[in-house]
Amino acid sequence: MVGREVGIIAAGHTKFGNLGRVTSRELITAAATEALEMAQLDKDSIDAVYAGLLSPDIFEHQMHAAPGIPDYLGMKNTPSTRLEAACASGGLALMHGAIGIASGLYDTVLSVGAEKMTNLPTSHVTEALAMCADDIYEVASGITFPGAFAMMARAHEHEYGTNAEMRAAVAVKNHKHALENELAQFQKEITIEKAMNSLMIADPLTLYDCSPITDGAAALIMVPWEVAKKHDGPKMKIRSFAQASDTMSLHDRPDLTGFTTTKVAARKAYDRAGLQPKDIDFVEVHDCFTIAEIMAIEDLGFFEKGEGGKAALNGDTYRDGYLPVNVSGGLKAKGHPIGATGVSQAVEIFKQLNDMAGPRQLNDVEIGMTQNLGGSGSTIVCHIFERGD
Amino acid sequence: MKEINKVVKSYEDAINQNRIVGSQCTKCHEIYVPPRPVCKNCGSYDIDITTIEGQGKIITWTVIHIAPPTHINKVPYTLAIVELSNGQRLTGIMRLPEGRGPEFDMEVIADFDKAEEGAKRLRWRPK
Repeated sequence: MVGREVGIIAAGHTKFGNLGRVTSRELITAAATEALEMAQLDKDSIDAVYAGLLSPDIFEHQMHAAPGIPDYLGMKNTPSTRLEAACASGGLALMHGAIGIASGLYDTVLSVGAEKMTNLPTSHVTEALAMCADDIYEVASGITFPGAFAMMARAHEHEYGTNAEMRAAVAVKNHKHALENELAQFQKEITIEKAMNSLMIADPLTLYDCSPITDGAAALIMVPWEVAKKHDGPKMKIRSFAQASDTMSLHDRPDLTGFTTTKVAARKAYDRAGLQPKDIDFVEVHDCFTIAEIMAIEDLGFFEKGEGGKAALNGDTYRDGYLPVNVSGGLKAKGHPIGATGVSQAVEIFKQLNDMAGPRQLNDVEIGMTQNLGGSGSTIVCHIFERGD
Repeated sequence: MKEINKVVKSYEDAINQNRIVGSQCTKCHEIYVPPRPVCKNCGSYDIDITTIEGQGKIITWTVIHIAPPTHINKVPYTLAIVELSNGQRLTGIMRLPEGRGPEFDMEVIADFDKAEEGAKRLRWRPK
C-alpha cells in the first residue's frame, strides 16, 4: 500500500435488531463512544469522521446526516463525511478513513456505519433498497434485491447445480454462528428443512435465504500503524484495501453466477498486501442472501467456481472448518443495518485478532479479510487485516 | 461544449412507441441495449439510436412475491433477464399464459404495457 501504514486501535458495536424509537445518530453515538473508551481517547482527538449510511433520507427523513454525528458526540467542528455505496457504504467509510490516515492528512479518524431501517414497513424498505438497482432499466421493471439475487441463484443452480439445500445450509451455519454472538439480531438455531420451507420471497429464494431488516451501528478508530503498534491496548493492522465497480444493471454483465467486482477487488487487495487466498485464516463476507456467500467464497478464491455451494453443507465454512466464514453470524443472522455492515465486518475481524470474541473466538488467527458488496455487486470493497501484537 | 446525449429519453420514447432501441457506434458499429452515451467498445461519443428486434430468449428468471408498493398489486410476478437476438440483455416482467411457466432458453417477444403512471413498460411473452 502507498502512504503511511494504518492501524485500528478500537471498535464499538451496538446490538443489532429492531431497536425501537431511536435515530441512526444515537446508534452511532453509542458505538463511537464504546470505541473512544476502548482507545482511551478524548473525543477532541478525532481529526475526522467518515460515516457509511445508505439512506437516512428515506428511513429517517434526514439528509445531511454526517454533521449530526460529531454534533451528538459533542465534538467541535470536526469534519464529517457521509459515504453512500448501497450496502457497501460502511466498507467505503472504513476505506476512506484509512486513506485519510495513509495520506498524512489526519492522525486519528473515526469510521462509523449505521442504519435505522425498522421505521418503515417491509414493502417500503424493499422499495428503498431497490433504489440501489438501476432505476430506469431494473426498478421500473419491478426488480427487487431478493429478485436480483434470485436470478443469480437460478443461474448458479443451472450452471453448477447449486440447489436450495446448499443455500439453506449457509443460513443454518450463520444462524448457528450467531448463537455465540450476543449482539446478533437472531440467536436461534434453524434447520435446513425450516429454511427450505419458509415463505417464498423471490423464487427460488425463501425468507431464510435473505438477511433481515435491522437497526444498528458499528465504529472503528484508526491511527498510523507507527502509533498503533506502541498503543497499550487492542490493535490490528490494515494490510490492504481495494474497491471495484461494475454495471448498474445486472443484465449488462456477461456472467450472472458471480461478481467480477469481487474478483477484481480481491486480486488488488491480495496484490497490495503481498498475500494469496491461502494466507487468509478467516473471512467475513457479504451474505445479504445465502447465494451471495456462495458466490463470494468462490470469487475471493477460496473455493473453485461451482464448488462454493457444497462448502457450508460439508462443514468447510463453519467455525471449526477449513475456512471459517461469517463467524459473527454474517448479515443473515447477525443482521444487516445497511450502512453499518462494512464496519461491523471489520469489527468482527478486530475482535478475533485481539482475542476479544468471547465464546466464538477462533484459535491461532493472524490474517482476516472482509468483502462488502453494494447493489447487485456494482460496488465491492475488500479489506485485509493482520494481527497487531 | 459537447451536446448532451439523451439516451434514456430515446429509450423511454421508443418504449412508448412499442419498440426497443439501442445505441450504435458510428465508428466501430457496436450496438448496446439499452443505449449508452459512450460506446463501451471503442469509447466513441458518436452514437446513433437504432431500433432493435424485440425478441430473444430467457437466460434467468425469478418469481417475485414481496414487492415494493409500485408493484404490490402484481404479485406474484415473473421477472426475467432476456438475451436479445443481437446478444444484448434486458430485464422485464413476463406475461405468461395460464399454466405455462418460464424456462431456460424460452423464446420470447417484447410486449408493451401501459403502466399506472401513464408511461409504457417493456414486458415479455412467449413467442
